[in-house]
Amino acid sequence: MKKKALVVSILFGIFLISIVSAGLLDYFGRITGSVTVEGPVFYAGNPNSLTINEFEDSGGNYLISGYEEVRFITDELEEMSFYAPKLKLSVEAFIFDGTQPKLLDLEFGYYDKFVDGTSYSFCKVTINVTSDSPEVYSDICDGVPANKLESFYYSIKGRGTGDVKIKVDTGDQNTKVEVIGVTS
Amino acid sequence: MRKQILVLMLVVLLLGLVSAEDRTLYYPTGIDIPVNIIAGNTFGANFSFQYLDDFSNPDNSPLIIQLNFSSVDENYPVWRNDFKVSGRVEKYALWGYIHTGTVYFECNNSEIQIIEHPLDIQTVQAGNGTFYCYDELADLKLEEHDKVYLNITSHQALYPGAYNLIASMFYLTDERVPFVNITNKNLFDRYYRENDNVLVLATIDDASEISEKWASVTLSGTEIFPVNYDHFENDEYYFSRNTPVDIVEDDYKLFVFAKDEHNNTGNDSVTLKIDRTAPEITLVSPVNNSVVSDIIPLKINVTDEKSGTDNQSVYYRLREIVNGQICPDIGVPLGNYTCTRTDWINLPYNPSGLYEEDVNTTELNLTSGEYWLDVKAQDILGNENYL
Repeated sequence: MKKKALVVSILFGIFLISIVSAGLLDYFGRITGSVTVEGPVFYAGNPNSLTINEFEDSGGNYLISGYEEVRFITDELEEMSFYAPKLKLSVEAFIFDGTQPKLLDLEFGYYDKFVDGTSYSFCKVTINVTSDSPEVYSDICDGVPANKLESFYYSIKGRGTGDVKIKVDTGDQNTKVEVIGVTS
Repeated sequence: MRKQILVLMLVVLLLGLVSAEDRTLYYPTGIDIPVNIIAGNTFGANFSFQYLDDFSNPDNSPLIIQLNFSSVDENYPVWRNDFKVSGRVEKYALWGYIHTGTVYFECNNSEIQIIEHPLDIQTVQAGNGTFYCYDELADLKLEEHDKVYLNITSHQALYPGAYNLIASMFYLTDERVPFVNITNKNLFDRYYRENDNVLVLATIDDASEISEKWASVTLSGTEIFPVNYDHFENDEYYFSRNTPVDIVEDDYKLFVFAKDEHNNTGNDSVTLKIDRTAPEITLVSPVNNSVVSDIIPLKINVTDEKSGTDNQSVYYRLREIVNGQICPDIGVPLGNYTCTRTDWINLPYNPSGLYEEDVNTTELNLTSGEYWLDVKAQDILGNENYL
């Protein structure tokens, strides 16, 4: 009896599959592939532009003294949400004038609207510029998710007195923000 | 009862397997796709296959590509608009050595899509990450080698991680019936009678080959007689035959059918009206058995409800009655007596609605006596009646 029930069940299963597959769209075959996606890279450029994945060869130098800020902003993007990114923020900089302190705040964030929008930070790091010749300084931070954004920004802000001047170079694709993963 | 269900399931199972195996792609390659890409960038992917003439693959088979992107990490699924896809098919003949054309196509990620192909229309539902791509010009021809190139743009906000891409190839089954259109329907406003020639013209449109076409006259769903296919001319199919001699008066349905190579049958129909009733003739004047002198005020009413009276077909004649016998058609003699009769004389139509004439007996050389009045009339089909 159990054997008979099993046969009936199997036939019924195949019967159902047959009915489902008898549609207008019939099947030729299937081909597969796979790809690994890495997070985007945001390059700081000139003038105050932030480009995604492609570095525009128009970088330049920015002199930051005291608490001055240089902000790089992307073009207007289609409205999107964004996951909580793990970020690597980098800057190529050197001490141009002055001695102490030599700190820079690096912040990556977004605007909820491109025009007259409010800015929100994904995350922020502080790096210590130690050399008077160009070097790349980096740090990693965990960002928060964004529900709605229309552009990204990368802010580089001084944390010193007026006599301290740091020059930031965006010409060698080293001043950038890399999305290196998703915050767990 | 259980045995019946088992048999039914087996039949459906066999049908399903047959329909699923009637077309085959040969030598498919895996999808050639970059190992690593950066979110926000556009990248290419391609694959190829052959569509061979294996005696089961039909020519011009539709090619509908379903692309499905899925994330390996279930915590970060693919959302709608994470990818945009377009592409092209490079077509080759002779085992891929001769390039025969390029067909570009768009891929759609909308949730509800209508695939509109000349063969048929199919509504499909595309989940997140699922695209349908097709162009009717990309239909597969026999012995064709196809290389499919995809341009895939990922969204900047796509989660970093591993993704799988599955390209599933589908074809569209033709379940659309041929469109049949009888083009001379106005010819059937009129009535027909026995031995009349019925000519019906029709156009037949279908994306597939038309395997059969025929015409038939039916009554209450039963075929009364077929109408034979005659020839094809100026994009129209001609069917013709005479109505049977014994056809009964009624309103019949005249169908033109067409069946395509996938056994879809379409039709169009028109009403074939048969009129075998002759006009009704009534004497208005003079009254039967009345006595008149010299002038007979002849007035006849003729009516025909269906095809209508032929106004030129109403005739009368007078035949002498001798010794109680009516003068025969052939005229004199009548036994031992002679008799008189007139020829058939046309009775003109009066716009008042009657057929009338003041019959001058003198002019007809009729002597005093008793006469039998004959009247005959036809409808426009020739159905004739006598008074």
